[in-house]
Amino acid sequence: MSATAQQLWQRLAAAGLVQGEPPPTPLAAPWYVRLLLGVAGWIAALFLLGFVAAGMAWLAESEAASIVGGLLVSAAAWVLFRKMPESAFAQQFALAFSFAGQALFALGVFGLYDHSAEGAGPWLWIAVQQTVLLAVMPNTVHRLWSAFAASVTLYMALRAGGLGFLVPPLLLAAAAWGWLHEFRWPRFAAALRPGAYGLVIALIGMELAGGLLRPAVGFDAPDPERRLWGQMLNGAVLVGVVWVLLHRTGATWPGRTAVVVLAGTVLTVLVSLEAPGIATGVCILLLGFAHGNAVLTGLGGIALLLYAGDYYYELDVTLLVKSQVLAATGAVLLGLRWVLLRWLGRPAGQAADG
Amino acid sequence: MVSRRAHLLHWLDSGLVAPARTAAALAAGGVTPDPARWLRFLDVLLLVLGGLALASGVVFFVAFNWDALGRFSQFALLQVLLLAAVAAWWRLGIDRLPAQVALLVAAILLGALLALFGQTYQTGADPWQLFATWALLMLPWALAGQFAPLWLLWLGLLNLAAALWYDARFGLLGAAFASRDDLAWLLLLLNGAAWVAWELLARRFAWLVLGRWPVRLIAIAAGFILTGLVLRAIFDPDSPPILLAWGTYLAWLAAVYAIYRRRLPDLFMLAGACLTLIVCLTAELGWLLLDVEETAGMLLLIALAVIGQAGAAAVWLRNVHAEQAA
Repeated sequence: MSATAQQLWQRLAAAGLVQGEPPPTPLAAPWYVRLLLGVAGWIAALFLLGFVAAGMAWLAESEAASIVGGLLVSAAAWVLFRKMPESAFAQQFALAFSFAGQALFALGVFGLYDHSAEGAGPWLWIAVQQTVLLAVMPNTVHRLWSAFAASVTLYMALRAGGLGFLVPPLLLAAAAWGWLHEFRWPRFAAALRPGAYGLVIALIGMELAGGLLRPAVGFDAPDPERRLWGQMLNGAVLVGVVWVLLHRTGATWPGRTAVVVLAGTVLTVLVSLEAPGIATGVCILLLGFAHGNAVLTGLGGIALLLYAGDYYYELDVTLLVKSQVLAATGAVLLGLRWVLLRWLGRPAGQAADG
Repeated sequence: MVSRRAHLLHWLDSGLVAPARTAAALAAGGVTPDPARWLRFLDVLLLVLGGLALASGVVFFVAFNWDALGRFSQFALLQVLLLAAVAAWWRLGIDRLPAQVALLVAAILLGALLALFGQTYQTGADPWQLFATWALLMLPWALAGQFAPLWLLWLGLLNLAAALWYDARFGLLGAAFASRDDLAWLLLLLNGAAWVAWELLARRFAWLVLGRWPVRLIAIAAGFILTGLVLRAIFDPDSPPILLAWGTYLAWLAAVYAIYRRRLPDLFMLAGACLTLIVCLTAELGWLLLDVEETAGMLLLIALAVIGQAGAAAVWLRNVHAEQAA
């Protein structure tokens, strides 16, 4: 039992929140070890797919066979995940086979649609499959991947119908809901948290695919009006998150804290409407800080940096307009800080509400 | 080291705290911030975001090269902002975060000013000289600032200058005289030296540590370049320094193990080294096995080898982690 845990337990016990002796906390792998396992899982999956293509071509050539085969492989992986949770080798084996099975399934589904990625159909099938995998696969790396893949395929499906702009705000709202309720249902926490991480990472990846990486992925420029709608919805999610967090810290409307913070948030959203990503990035940062989650806070910071790079290369607006938007946003943020510290900056404990 | 959040998550998820008292437990454990911590966080967030947005707005403005605003006004604008940022650094108390952010903003504005200078006077200088001058001129600030991001910016500028210098020097005749490998070696040398220096200096200057993320970023850069060199040595046996690439790589692996296993325990570095090892061994295996008859069987074999390596890495890293956390 570490000193941190002992101290923490005593503090909770003193507040009458826990009783007895603290149980040892199992050591969870840090995110970078999980990333390593996920990357290695995909490398192995690619070789497995090569094996199928070279040695079992009949499987890849028939749509029905690849769909059924893919699903069977994923099912086998599920059994392995459940039966041997302690063996790192079995887990890695299951991960690689499940990834390969998913690729096989996707290949079959696209085959049914003449290998065209234009329509919504194949993407929806894959999104449904990944959502099921997110729910059932008892492995953190797998769940994070499935949430990511489900988000991206949902985006591709809605994009085919011209509704792609709705997906980022939708994902942000879903991720925010997940993070704000991460303690609500302990039974589902093992799926909820990796799922919410997957949504956030997909969100950042999508913004990049629509911006900095747009030439590489071959996306069309987004329709300005729809993009503005997307931005406003992102901003609405941010305002909603701020509202919930204010409520939780005990600030009530129309107290001074609530008014200043909400007005500041709305102002930030409005002034940065033309600078995509600021509302999203800030929202992720706040969610991370609200629950002491350093990894999520870091993701928010990275998102903001990437968005800034994205913005520079965006071609729809001239650099002059961009520089004005950024300068105005910067001035508003610094002004807000001044107001915040002047009106609310009181010694600890008294700052809750005025 | 298990965080307070991780302990509390475990206790909450195992039902040791009554569901109705979850919020109270999170607050008592210091996982959810109280109003005073929120205020401090918002203070820093608004300051950093606002400062950087303002500075990048100015950089975008200079990049736009707006003729309607005369040269004189452009220079005046930049210089006034630059002076204001430096003055803010001085006034705000040098070793405090607001001051350090002001200095970072000043360092970015300095680059914009140099770019404007080059634009206006058509100095005929190579692009690499812009970044080299920028790095040189901001050096005193980096020395005075005691702020890790300033040094990361400085290192980034050196990397850019080196890459552009290489392009200017060998770019035209590059195909005949030098391969891009030389550039990779140059950048490896630069970032490797920075890595060593950072670790050594961090023992004396605590502000360089910053949660170990700056040095990890440098390690990622160096690791990427070195892995790339090994992959080239594998797939292009004609590229001359095969032994050098493998030799450097193995020496690097040994050094990472020797240092980060016990002397300066850092699981991130060990995990990164494991990933490069899996990539390099898999590439070598693919190169050796895939030109024989039994392609399908060999592909399966390689897949199993990757799974085995990753499983072994997972077990080893878990043990090291447990040992380091104890």
